Amino acid sequence: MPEYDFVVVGHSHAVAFLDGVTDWRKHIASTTHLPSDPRYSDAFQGWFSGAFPDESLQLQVTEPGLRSRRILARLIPRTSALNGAAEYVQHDGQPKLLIQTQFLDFLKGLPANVPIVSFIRGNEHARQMLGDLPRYDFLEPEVAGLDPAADAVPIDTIFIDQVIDTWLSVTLPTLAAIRAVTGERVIHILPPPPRENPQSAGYFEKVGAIVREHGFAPDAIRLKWYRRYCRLLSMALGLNGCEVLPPPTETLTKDGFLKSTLADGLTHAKLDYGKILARAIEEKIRSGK
Amino acid sequence: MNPYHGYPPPQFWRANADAASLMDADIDFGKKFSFSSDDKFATAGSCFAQHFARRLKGAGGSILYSEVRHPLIPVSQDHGYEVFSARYGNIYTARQLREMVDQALGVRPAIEDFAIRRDGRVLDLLRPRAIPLGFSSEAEARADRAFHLRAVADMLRQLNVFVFTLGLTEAWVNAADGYCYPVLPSTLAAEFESDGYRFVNFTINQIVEDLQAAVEALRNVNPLARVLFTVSPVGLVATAEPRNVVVSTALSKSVLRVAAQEMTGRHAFVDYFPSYEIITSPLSRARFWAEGLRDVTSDGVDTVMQIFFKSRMPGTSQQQAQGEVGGGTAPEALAAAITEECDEMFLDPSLRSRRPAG
Repeated sequence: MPEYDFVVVGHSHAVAFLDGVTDWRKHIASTTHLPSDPRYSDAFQGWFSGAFPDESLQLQVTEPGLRSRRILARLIPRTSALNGAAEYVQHDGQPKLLIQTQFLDFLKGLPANVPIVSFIRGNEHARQMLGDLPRYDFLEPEVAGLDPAADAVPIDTIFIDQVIDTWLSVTLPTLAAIRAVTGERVIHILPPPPRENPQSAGYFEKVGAIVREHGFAPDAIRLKWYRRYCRLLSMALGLNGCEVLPPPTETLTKDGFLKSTLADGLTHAKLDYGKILARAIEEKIRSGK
Repeated sequence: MNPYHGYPPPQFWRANADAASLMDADIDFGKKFSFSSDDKFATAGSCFAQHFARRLKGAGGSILYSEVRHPLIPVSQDHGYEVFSARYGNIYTARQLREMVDQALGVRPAIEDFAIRRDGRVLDLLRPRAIPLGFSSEAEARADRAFHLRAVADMLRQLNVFVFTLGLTEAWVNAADGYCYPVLPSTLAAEFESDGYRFVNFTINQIVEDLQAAVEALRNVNPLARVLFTVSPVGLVATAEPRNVVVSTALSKSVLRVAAQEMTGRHAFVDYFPSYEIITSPLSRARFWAEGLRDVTSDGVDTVMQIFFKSRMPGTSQQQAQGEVGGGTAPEALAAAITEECDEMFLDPSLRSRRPAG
């Protein structure tokens, strides 16, 4: 029997999952001594200040409804050397995966025959939720229609994809490196979608000033960016032998937004989302596909 | 009594021939109106018209841009912005102008003629070189065209002065529906070859009728708009008539010049600026022709604009206008730039082969 049911590697989107089903808070230094940052909820106090540990944690699963018992988790805080530790470079006209030594060592040290669950990045699309751009729209097959407003500039998707490519250029090599070095099953957890009613968010994180000045992009735009990003990322990951897990249906509104009851601030989810997601992860691992 | 007694010097050939320079010849004598730096200009027409907008802007004139680059569209992408007031690309013929105005103002439905290039990109055949990148899908091309036409309508409603440079009488039209292409699609790419195109050489009556319809439509939505016609001095790359291209060029330019004069005579709000004569008349001693004898040199464009500013916008800085020419680049570079922007170049396979791919 492997020592761990699965490995978790990721950024801030892992917090909801870890808070929901593990004892990870016991393993990190208390953040109560830190000055409270009013931009974030309690769950994210410390995350953005670098107070969270930059090391692997051996965690117990505390949620009784789950089969999994032990998880090896490695969060990658913003200050971690593991950020941006893999990239594609051109070599003889071909893309070549370049992996920095620290990340390579970390990957080589992961347990064998244990699936890896990735929460790598995932909030890139959130920048586009703000209303600070002149009105525009673009076609996205998964979200019908174009803004009928006369002043909504139709943006060709080649330009949208150029923006998304810059996001993928960080996430994709990281995951490709994980898969290539470990040879293990890699399941990337797609981030939660934009939340419904963002104006009702309790925390506006780093963009409060922009929100106050410009508000939010139309719902359709927020959803289009998210869906297109997820679709392109999923395709690219598939080509690199990685699987993806979309947000559980029960966490979404009928229009596909993250239910506000499950949203933490503007860009993350709460531990209740993590609990639902944990069941979907187990199901995904068990299904073997 | 000799009626010529007392006529001002510009009306005598000798006075022009004896003038120290073209600038002194008052070649724009007889103009109806001048402009101020507060006037909002919209420009359209053949490739020569592009330089008008560029230099007018450089001299502190106000160019109306009704389609501006969205921040999501990289500056590095040639996507048709700020070449003309909207992204219509070169409009060579009066028919093209009329059709664009009619579509924009809802007189006729939008003409949607798209074609898929070999690289999968979708071209709008009514402005293929305005947006050389094309579109990712026909739906996006259609959406962009609808937006573009709304922008043209806005432009027509907001402009104070519409400057239109007449370029050609020869054109290719859609055989089934009769609408006009800026350039024969099959010259853009082999995959656009079709027998669905028909050659037309518009007559003076047709051109005047088209210009009349276009300016009437403009004035209907913008009763104070003024129109300034010019005729491009740039010759035809090729003629589809069975005669020498030099002869066809002379005929085309003559017809266009007459059409412009006819419109000027009909309407107080329409005037003509003699950029054509500045370049082609004997007063210039043929010194404004670039190598190849078809395009106009940087000096030629400079001179046209300096005369324009002196005659029509005396408050603007001619020095600044001059300094704006090609951003200080060599005349050859400017001539190349003129060539670069001309859809017409696609008519001559030998020139086409020298163009960058795509």
